[in-house]
Amino acid sequence: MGDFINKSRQYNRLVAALLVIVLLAVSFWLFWVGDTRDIEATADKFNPGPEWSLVSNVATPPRTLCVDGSCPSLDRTWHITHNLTKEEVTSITRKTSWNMQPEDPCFYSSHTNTAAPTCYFHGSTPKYTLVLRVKNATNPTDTTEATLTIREK
Amino acid sequence: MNNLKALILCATFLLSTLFALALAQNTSALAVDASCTNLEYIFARGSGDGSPRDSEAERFFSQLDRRVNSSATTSHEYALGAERYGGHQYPHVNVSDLGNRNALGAVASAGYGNDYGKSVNAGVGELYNYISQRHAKCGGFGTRYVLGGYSQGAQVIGQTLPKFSEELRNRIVFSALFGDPKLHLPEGEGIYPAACRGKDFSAWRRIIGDCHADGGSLKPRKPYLPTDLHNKTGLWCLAQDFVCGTSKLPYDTSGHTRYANVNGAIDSAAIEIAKKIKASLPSEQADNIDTSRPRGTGTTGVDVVYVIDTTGSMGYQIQQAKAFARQSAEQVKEMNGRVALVAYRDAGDNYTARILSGLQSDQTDFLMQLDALDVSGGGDWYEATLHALMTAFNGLDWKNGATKAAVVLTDAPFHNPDKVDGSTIATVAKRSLEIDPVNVYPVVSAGIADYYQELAAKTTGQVIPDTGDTAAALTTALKKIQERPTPLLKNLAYSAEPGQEITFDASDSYVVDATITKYDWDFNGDGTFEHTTTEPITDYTYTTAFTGTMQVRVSADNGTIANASATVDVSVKTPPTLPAAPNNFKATITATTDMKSTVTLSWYPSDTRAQLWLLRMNDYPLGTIAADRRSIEITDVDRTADVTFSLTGLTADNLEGQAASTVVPKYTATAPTTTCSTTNPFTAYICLAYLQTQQYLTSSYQTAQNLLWW
Repeated sequence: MGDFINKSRQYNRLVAALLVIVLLAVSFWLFWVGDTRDIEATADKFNPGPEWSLVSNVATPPRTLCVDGSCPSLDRTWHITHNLTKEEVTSITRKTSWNMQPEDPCFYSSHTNTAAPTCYFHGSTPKYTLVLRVKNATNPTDTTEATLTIREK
Repeated sequence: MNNLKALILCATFLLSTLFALALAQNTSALAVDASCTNLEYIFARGSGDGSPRDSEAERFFSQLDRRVNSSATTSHEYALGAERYGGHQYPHVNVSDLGNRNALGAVASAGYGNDYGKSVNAGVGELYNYISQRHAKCGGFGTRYVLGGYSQGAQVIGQTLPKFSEELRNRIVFSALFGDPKLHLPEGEGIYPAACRGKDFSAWRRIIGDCHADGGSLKPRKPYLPTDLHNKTGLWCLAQDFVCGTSKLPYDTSGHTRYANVNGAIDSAAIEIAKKIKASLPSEQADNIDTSRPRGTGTTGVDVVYVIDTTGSMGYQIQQAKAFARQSAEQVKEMNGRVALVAYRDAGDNYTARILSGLQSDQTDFLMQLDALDVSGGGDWYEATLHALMTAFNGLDWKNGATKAAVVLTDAPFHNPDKVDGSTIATVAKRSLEIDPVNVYPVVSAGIADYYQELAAKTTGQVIPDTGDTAAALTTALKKIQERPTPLLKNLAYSAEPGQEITFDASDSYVVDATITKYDWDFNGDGTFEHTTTEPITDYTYTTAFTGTMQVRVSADNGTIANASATVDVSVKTPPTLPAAPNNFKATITATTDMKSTVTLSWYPSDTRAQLWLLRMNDYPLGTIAADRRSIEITDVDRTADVTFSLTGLTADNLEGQAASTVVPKYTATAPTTTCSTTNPFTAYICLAYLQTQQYLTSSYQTAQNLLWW
């Protein structure tokens, strides 16, 4: 009888321990947050030069539960001292292995009094899709701005 | 003396208020004081990273600017959150980090409470005040408004629209909503949604990735829109977007990041908006408004696989194909396309068919593999073309919504059935359809063209005769792909019961620089088109159970054809039993101050079917409550009128059961409260002690429940 009770207790403890382990594993999986090293390393391959001044770098780490679907993602914005041409941007993106292609029309003339002529360049790696958006300034008080957005495929 | 102090205090208070108001007005001066324009573009971003202009906002503005390029119009753009209007500024709220409880708070309050709800309210306040002030300044100029909102921003737009006066609403050209967490599509409700039968589509429905979608992740807003805006609003909810309700899985949110893709939902909305603006202008002023659709591409681009025969006899043509592929891949890229490469030989050779490069927009790998192709083997004249096509169909990662084509380059006919895997034309055509479809374009010499006619016809491709110049033949094939119609069905999946009529609607189909002449319908996917119409819509009733694929083939007067397919599931389904109304649903007023009461609602479930409780106050959803709760305290209930609370059990699929309701009457000085009405002092003492204990226990239980809830 005593053996039976001991075995039963051991069994209960084993089940409880297993439950705790499963619970911990599920919790770990649900609330897992990765790091941004990989996506930042990818972004670092885009090295536009000293005329591009980095003004913002927002990296969202990968997570199991990602409510807005942007995990991982990276947005990096630069201000540039002068307006860019399609050829200039292409020569910069060519240094990466992303095979970035401009989307036509590129730097169309703007007809809003606040919008800037914009050109999108699209590329990809096996893991990420990349979009570089370049907005040229339309008046002397504006700044030419470029934003690189990287999202996981 | 006291009167003087009070006077000074009052004056100080008034001056401070006036100063604050003046300050608020000053801070809102920038955009409102910008010169008046014909058109005002306004976008409300998603919860985002803090910048008022996220990728979706940028895409929205740039697409409108690109398309509405008329000298007769001037426009101004405003990104919500950029400035403060009427004391409101739309703030960023981080919902991607579950640890900060913003997302959970949003879900718990159905998007109306906690930091998320406050952010929405601030956005609503800013948008309302911005447009009102802008209208006050530019109303005489005839300014009209184009609104766009993504995710949380779509909720902001949707909640602001009813607040506008009729005059202001008349000034709205169009509102485009993307990935709205408050989506409501009545046609998606129920076990057998009308949407899955192609029926009763809401006027605001655009591309919706799942016919069962009826409500967003934060529960649908009902009514979704003011009636007069039904035809001036478009709602896009792409597949696999948990936020707006095309997926029930919280981690399935990949669709939520695709609205700003090239030729995606925002681009599609910009075309619709451009059309509306163009229609409202005199024809001489409507020049340079670009309403063109992308050529020969599906909603997500083009997937093209080159299936190349590498047997010995292909030596000369391979070199030409390599040279051409470099050029054609560039054209595919411009069509937002991806390319893949499959090489094949025949049974008994060192390989029969293999994918050398998967579908990708980066062509580096494709070109490298193409350069490395060599030719050898082959044996008899017939080759393993069908096996190669099946290898491509099954092995490549085809993109949903893309136009798909397989270009076959060969100088030989094929084994039918195939010697490697037994594939036949019928099985290849069936698999092609299942992938929505992949059209096969054989580029072959005139001598063997007849061998390929049936394969091309069954997959709605076309045989391209190779007159000796493979490059020219391939160019023709690619041109055909670009010039053909883009067939689009409203649904990617249909479902019904036997005997129920289904409406198949291909009215979104289009062709550039040509006209669609007819629609051929194959209702059971056997390759035989049972019905032909000149209109894009047809009805069909499956009298018996059927699970498979249907297709529509669209023909244009430029000699091109293309088809689209959708899955069909006709079966008898057992409806789930919905939760019964909860028992004993009652409201107890526990405190009242200044016409506002704290009310405790309590209930008991009638069965175990409710997975969540949905609480409404005067038909306005307050939020959902965990299934195991039996009471909830509501504070600040305005009792200037009767207040009706209703409680409904929700199933795991968010289907609503029967509701129970209770009314808290309008407050009066003699309003009934829970009291101990007895004249016996001992009984009164016991009764009061009981009430206090009950209140304490309810409070403790509530605290414990709240802790568990979070």
